[in-house]
Amino acid sequence: MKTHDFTVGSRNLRMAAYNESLPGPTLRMRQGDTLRVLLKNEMDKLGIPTNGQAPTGFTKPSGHGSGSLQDHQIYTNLHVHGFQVSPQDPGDNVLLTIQPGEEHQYEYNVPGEGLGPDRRPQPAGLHWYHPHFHGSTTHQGWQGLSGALVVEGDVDEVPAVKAAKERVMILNELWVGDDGTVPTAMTVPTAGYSPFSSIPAVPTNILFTINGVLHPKISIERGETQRWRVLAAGPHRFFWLKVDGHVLYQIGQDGVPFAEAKPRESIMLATGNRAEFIIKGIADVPDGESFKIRALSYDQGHPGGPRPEHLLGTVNYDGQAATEGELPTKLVTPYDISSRPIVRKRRLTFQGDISSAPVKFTIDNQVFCAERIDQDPAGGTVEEWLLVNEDVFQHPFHIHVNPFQVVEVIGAPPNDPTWNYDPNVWWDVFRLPAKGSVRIRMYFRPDFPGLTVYHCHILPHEDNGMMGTVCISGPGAPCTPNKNPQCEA
Amino acid sequence: MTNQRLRTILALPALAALALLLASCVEPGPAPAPEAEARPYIFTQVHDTELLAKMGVNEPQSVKLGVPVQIQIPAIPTVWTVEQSGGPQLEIVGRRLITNPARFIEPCRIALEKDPTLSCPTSIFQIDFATVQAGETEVRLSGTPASAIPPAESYSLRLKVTP
Repeated sequence: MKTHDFTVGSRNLRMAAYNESLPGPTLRMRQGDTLRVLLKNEMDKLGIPTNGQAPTGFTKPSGHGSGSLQDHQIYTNLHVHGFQVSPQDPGDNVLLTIQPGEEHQYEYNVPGEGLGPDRRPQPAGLHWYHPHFHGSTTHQGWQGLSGALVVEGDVDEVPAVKAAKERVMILNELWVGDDGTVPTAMTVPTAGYSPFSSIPAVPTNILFTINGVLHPKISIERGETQRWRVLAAGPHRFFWLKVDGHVLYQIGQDGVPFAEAKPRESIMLATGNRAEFIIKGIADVPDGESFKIRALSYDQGHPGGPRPEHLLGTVNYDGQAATEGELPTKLVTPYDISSRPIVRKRRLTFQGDISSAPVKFTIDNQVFCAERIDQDPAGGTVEEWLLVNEDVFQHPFHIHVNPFQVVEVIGAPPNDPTWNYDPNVWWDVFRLPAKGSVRIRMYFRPDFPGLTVYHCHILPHEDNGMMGTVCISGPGAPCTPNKNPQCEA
Repeated sequence: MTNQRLRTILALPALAALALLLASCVEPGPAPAPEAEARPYIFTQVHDTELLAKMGVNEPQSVKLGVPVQIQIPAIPTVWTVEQSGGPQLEIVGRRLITNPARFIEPCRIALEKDPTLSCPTSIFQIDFATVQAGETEVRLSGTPASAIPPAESYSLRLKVTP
């Protein structure tokens, strides 16, 4: 991770990046592989507002030990989002601190076939990696620090999917000051086009890119099928994705393939969601014709009402496909937990307060504390969680290691078509409706015990407290005693 | 208010009394597209001078001449009047009221338990300024009735407009 200069549209930006790439490189593997990543933190402090006023709050320690809040904006670690791997070192441990000048060797054993009915293979689909140091995930997310993890497997052998041209598309949200850097300062939400301001304030804008490009032109041929693997990698914005004039035949959600393709007019992607779909070139469109790819206006609960619509890019027609593409119907057999008993039910409550600075977001009236164990499921069991949102923000709930199924949504906004949920679909990020609740079921696989986290995937909310710990008990993972249940200093 | 008192206020050289906000004078609705406005400095209620001083920040905020300034502050039923002292560094160029219901239910509940006369805001009052002259200035907003969200009834933003 190192500072690099990028040109996005007409803007010159200076951002930290993985391997000098915005977004980071796509890593491709198969079920059963071992992935090793050496993460080197060579980030610089950027974006310090130079407007004659000291950054607010930066003289106070943030609770991570030495260093100020400003220092901590360039501390980091790595999370493999969607991977069903161990949360313990050298795996997906998001409680690590990697300071500038330090490095860490990660190793992820991606589960393959043949481990038995209790240990499913890693679902074949789009997953992703991004920073996850509590307190700096937002700052690093605004710089586009993200990258695709493509796991290949069963669904890729379905003939209609195999024949489709693949596109990996990462939607980033770059919040930058006029100097092209992300402000390193306390941030507060605002109404209006730029959803945040800083203390001290600097003029900012927000850029929505696909694979680091502003308003790209994506070519397609008449009759051609393409497989789009789309990731919402921004820290804040929900992308209600629509491709004008085209139906999206969705084949997977959050990296888990469906049993059959589902036609959609549009797909809602909260922060962290992935969707994979087949899109087919229209038969009678002339060369040069283009169709807009839009993020539709949507009220996710941010101050000021609906976030405005954005043009993300265009689909541009160029030629006739040599072979007419087929649309898939039947896909794969999804993992089924319906016969497993629910051994425990839990209730979690989500709250937020943006009336003062810093803003505060809580789960069960508590901000995050790594030394406190909040939930302690047993590996090899199924639990049902009721997630209650007392806030006006929609909070996209995310949990590490194990995905979940949504069995009930209570309080979805009336006349809001984005609340599709099929109890058979697997998610690892799902929005909680404002003043509503969601009931989910999770199978905690027994082969990856250890301490990990769940949180709101609107990263400013996570950084400001909306995260909890879950210790999955099993061999090699002592979850008791609870080290510091009151989280005292 | 008598005509004599109104003339006295308008004659004071040190204060430039700006607009009295009436909800019916502003337009609700979503934010305009970025092409329609330059990127402003955005200040909210947390940039209040007194609140910043509690965080150890005592210097005026510097803004560049020619770059717009915007204040967003919780409002309605609280209505804010705007004044500027120290010189005409800023000129109001727009006002907007943005509906923002149910935003502060819990902090309002806590504040109202201590002082039931406070009002819980349901909207955001946005004021847009052009920066027209270098120098130091202070924008003050006075709110009636007092808001349950700090600053309750008096907001101050100290600015230094630099060339």
